Amino acid sequence: MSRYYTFKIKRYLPDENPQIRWDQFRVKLNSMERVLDGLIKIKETMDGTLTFRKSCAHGVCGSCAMKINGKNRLACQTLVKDLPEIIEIEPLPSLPVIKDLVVDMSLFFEKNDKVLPYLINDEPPPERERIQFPEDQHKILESITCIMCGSCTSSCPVFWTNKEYLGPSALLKAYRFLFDTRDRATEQRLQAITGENGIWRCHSIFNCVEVCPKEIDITKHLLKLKRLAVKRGFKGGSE
Amino acid sequence: MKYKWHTGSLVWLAHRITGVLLTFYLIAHIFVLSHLRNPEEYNKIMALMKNPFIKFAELILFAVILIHVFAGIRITLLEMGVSTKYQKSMAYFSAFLVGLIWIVGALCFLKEVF
Amino acid sequence: MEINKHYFDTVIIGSGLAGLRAAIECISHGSVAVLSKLYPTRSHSTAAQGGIGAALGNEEEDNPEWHTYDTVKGSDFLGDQDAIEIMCYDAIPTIIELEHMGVPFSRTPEGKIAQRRFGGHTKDFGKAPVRRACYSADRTGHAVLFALYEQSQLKGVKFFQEFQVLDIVVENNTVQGVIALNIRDGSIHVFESKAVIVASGGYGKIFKVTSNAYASTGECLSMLFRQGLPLEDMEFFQFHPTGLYGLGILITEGARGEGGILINGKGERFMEHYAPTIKDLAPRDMVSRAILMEIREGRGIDGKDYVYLDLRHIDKRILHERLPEITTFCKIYMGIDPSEAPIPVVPTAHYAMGGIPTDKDGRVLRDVDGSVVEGLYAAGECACVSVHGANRLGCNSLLDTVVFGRRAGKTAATTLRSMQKGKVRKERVSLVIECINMIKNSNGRESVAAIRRDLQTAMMDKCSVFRKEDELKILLEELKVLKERYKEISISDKSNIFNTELLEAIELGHMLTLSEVIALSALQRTESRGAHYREDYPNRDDENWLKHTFAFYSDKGITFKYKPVTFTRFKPEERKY
Repeated sequence: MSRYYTFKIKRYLPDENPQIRWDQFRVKLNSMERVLDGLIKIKETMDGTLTFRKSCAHGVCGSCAMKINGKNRLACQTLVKDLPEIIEIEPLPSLPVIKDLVVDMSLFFEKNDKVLPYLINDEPPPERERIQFPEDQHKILESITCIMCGSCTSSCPVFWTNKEYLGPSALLKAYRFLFDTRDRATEQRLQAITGENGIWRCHSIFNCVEVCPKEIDITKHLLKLKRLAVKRGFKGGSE
Repeated sequence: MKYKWHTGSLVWLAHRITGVLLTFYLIAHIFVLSHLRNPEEYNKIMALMKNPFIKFAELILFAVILIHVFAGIRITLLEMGVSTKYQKSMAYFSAFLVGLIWIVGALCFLKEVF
Repeated sequence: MEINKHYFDTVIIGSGLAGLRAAIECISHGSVAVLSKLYPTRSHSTAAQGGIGAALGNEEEDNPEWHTYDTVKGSDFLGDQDAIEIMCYDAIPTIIELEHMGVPFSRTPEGKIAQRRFGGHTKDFGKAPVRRACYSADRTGHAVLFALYEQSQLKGVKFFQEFQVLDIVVENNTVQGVIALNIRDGSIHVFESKAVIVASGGYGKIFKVTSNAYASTGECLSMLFRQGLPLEDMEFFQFHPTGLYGLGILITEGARGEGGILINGKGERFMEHYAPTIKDLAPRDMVSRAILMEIREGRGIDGKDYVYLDLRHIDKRILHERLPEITTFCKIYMGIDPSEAPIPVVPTAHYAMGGIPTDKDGRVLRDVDGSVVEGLYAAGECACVSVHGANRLGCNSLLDTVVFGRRAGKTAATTLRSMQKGKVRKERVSLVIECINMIKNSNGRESVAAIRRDLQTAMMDKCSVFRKEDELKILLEELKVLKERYKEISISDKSNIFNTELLEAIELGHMLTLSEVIALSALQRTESRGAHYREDYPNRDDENWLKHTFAFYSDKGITFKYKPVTFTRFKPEERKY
């Protein structure tokens, strides 16, 4: 059950040539193969200079997020059979391109660093594990599945126009710790996310939810964050 | 930049555009009202309102207001804690209500004219 | 070419669990740099699903002694028992410490860390399966990796992400530093240091069907080997019984721990014949062989080359709560819902038991007499302590990474004061640069991808679960040809920026070296033990082979030496489950 697909790929190497070009490749792929398999075939047999990131190839490492037919997805998790015959591939939008489909993720990771992304609890640890009931653990269950692929933040129209905005991924990380019953830095972290470019910039557009490869309902989490912030008296906007 | 549209982003965009339109309208509205200084001027304006073009524009304004109101209600409900599971159905239901109210409203409106 | 120099007290290669755990240990004693060829959170530790073993006894009675026994028996008595004892007893405080660092473990109704059954883990020395694997749904590796990454960020570890290590410099039996390439702009960076901890992970990519990531190519092992340092027990490579058919994607053993069973084409639960006591929860080497035996004898599904993993009888709620990840894999890649249809599976190359030989504190050994390389440490899958012996038990790998990552880090940190700052000579750097330029400027006719494909196929066909002398000899011939072909490669990407083609060429060279070591090690071990199964020598031979293999590189080819296994309390016995 193989068929031919046309891969239209945006090529760009800003450090050596300011010209953007679109290359086309015809690849034969079977119904079990994924966009990543197509890209690898192209690199191996047609154009060795085609550049993209890859690692685990089954949707757990988050390396191969890119824009496929107008939507951010993981190349390793997108089966070609679910796509039309012409597959248009671009790097993640709104992040600086390094080469072809490889973008500079530092901006994305820097945002994450701003929300104090680690468990803070200065109380002396007990001898055994800290007790956390299943229903409490379930509150963060969805948020801990994030693989930081960057699909959400680079699909967010707010981020497109305001690169200072923390973005869905970093805010979800904040949620993961704010709603962890073992964490003690609620005030500090709320302070960090309620600034001018924080949580209030989220307009519930749901683009992040549409693209999340782990199917996390990010907006739901951000709305809960907003309610928590209001309850704790963080009205935001000032800083 | 080309990017695929979804229900959420379409509603958001509609909300934004209608918001901007309403801002302009309100400015115009206040501008006109603040320049009415005597009954003659008032009657002149009211006569102008009978113009079919203006009538048509008023129908559009009505739609713009409805869209903006319902998009706003949807967001408010979400922020107040209505499950995001319903964000799409809320959008579709709002669209339905906007359509329904607009048609009913338009009929009443037209009855007044004719 | 301009060379960027850095100094750090400790340089760690690899940002998986072992590397990060070591980094957290070292950071309070000096500066630490972690080099990774990916972004740290992309490390393959993130793909570990099922759990991390520790006899916490949260769900039922358990103790570290049983854990030790299971690990020894699982290793087919090739594991060093002193090291295994350390691992199993250290497991409990180590897991508790992980929990304190913020790992979001799944919980029991009382709020303790939840535990489940796993292959080969038993109570009371083999009587029945026991709940020992601590888990976070089926994303345990991911949960632990993120917690460790977050803690190392908090503590100020410096990360050099997307840096490919090109050489680990060992001179005068002392580590001097590391030479690396910044993938982003092609610049060469020299890291001089007092200590280097290698935590570069596995090399499953030398096999065609594997659960490993594209990044798991094992170049660091080969770099040390080419400098004359030994590699231990390389013939032992674990095949995980349940990889998704056709893709090799891992379906955790936890699926069987939660009650999943394997069935053949006749609908039989065939593991009852192979391991009557613990059935589907037998160790991986046995289950993998059993599956392939069924297929060989025509009892695959519809006579084809796979069997089914059946989860249909498991409560949907449990599937959703404890095995969500594999459920999605099945839906995305196979288009099936495991609660309604059985999952087609075959064994997939999964884990290297062998690697860089180390002592119990992570120091890299340079010979069978226990002498060490000053300042060089290894931990995790790339190392061989050896706690896994001939076959690793499920959920012991994560444990190995954190226990020995921590120990290696601690030892490195405490010996820093007595160490001199390393010095990487210019000539050494020039050599590396020359090597890169040679690949870039070569104009041969061979493609890296074609050689790699042939290598992976050859290794899969002749050196995977079943091995035979004649086939291994053919394989060695083929490897010779592949090495010749490798000299004729050329790459089309000449740019300095993010040149992944160049990286793949470098990796391939190292993969060829490792494959040769594995094939030769497998050829010389004329017995069957754990994951190493020789059809021409189907029995375990304790009289001659109860010893570790050390492979050495020399100009004349690869030579072998042997190191006795350390025993403490468990004498070799027949391995029945």
